[in-house]
Formats: sequence, structure tokens, C-alpha cells
Amino acid sequence: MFEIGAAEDGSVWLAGRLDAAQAAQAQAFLDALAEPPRELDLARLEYVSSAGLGVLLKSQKRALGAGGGLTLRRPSRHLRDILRYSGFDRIFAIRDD
Amino acid sequence: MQASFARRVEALAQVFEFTEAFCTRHDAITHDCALALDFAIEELFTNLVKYQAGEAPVEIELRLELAAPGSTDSTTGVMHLTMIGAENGPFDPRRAPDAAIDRPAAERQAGGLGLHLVRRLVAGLDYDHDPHTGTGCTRVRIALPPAPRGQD
Repeated sequence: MFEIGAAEDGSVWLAGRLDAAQAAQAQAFLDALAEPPRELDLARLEYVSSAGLGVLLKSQKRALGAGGGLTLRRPSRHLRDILRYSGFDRIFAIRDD
Repeated sequence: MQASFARRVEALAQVFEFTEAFCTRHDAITHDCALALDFAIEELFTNLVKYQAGEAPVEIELRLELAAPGSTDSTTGVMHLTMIGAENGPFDPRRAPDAAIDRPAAERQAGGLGLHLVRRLVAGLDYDHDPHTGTGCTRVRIALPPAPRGQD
């Protein structure tokens, strides 16, 4: 199961499993936002595959194109490994708080 | 455990139900190992869906090999994943190029990350293609971590 939503502070939260079957839903939600978010809260995101990483990358490109940049917040240990192995720790700011 | 799955992305939900059933049967499989298994299965399965034509189902077998009691192995065991599917031609996942992870975001592409990551999450990856049947067989090994002190 995968869920995505916007928080009152303008950040976007993701929860559950972002796999190839759910990536289009996540991308559509993020693309529909009037402005790209500044933060993605990953605290409740259990799993991400390369399809999900593609969603994060596209969102980062959009944010950078708008003069900003995405921060990934509170990834699990497993997600941190995925982000590091994919080099995403070099192109995203990552925070644990 | 063995099962066959329709060759379409929508079948991933059934594939993950299958892996969850396998992992919950074995206490030795940690949560992170189960996630690594799901990752490897998804990337290999979706590669078959996207790049190999045909509608023949994909066969998946999961097996757990526990280390012998008193073994001095550095792991408590190994998960074995075997995936078999018809292919247009051989595609060896061991030979797929690594993703260019040192490029800036504007130059990064999502494609190619899947197998790049699989190779880093698993302990072993093997592949065979049978030209007579047109079938590819990928074998993955995922090492289970050492048991916590006092439980070995």
C-alpha cells in the first residue's frame, strides 16, 4: 500500500511502499502541485524501488529548475542505504529531524 | 516456495504477497533482508516485463538455507531467489553498466539504477540463458546478518 499527501507546512509526506506499480500515482500527485515542494517527509516510507527513485529525481529536477531544491527528511536506515548506493545523497539534502 | 506470476507490472502486488508469506515463515529473515529481497525481485521482474516481449508467466522460487548450528559462518544463512522467464535474447544482469551516480542532478537519469542497486544489496548474482528454450534464469543470494549476541 502506498499513500502520499501534502502537510500544512507545504511539505509532502510519503508512506508505505513506492514500487513500480505506484510510481505513476506519486508522480501525478507531485506534478499536480502548483509549486514543487521543498521537503519530502519519508518517515513512513518503508520501501522504494528504482521506479520510486525516478519519481524523486524528477521532482528534484523540477525543484531545481524553479530555483529551489528538495530536502528528504527522516529516511529509514534501509532507505538511507538505497539513497547512498544510488548517489542520491549527493544530489539531495537529507535530514533526520 | 515456488509460484508463477503474470508478466505485467500490476502483478507486483501478488509477487510481494508471495515474498511476505515466505519471509514471515522464517524468523531468521530480518526486515532489512526482506526489503532487499523485494528490491531484487521487483527490479528483475520489471526488467522482464519491460524489455522482454511475450506473455509467458515468470517463475519465482524462494529458498532459505540456514547455517548449521555451531557454524563459524559470518551469517546465519542465505536466501536464494531464482527467477525464470522467456527472453527475446540473453540479458545478463551482471553485465549491465553501473549508473553514473557522480553526475549532478540535472544530468542524472533514473534508468539503470535498478540493477546498479541490486548488485550492491545482494551477496551474489548469477545468470544463465538457455538458447534452446529461449529462457533466462537469474539466481540471487542474499546473506542474512549474524544473529544478535546470545542468540547463536
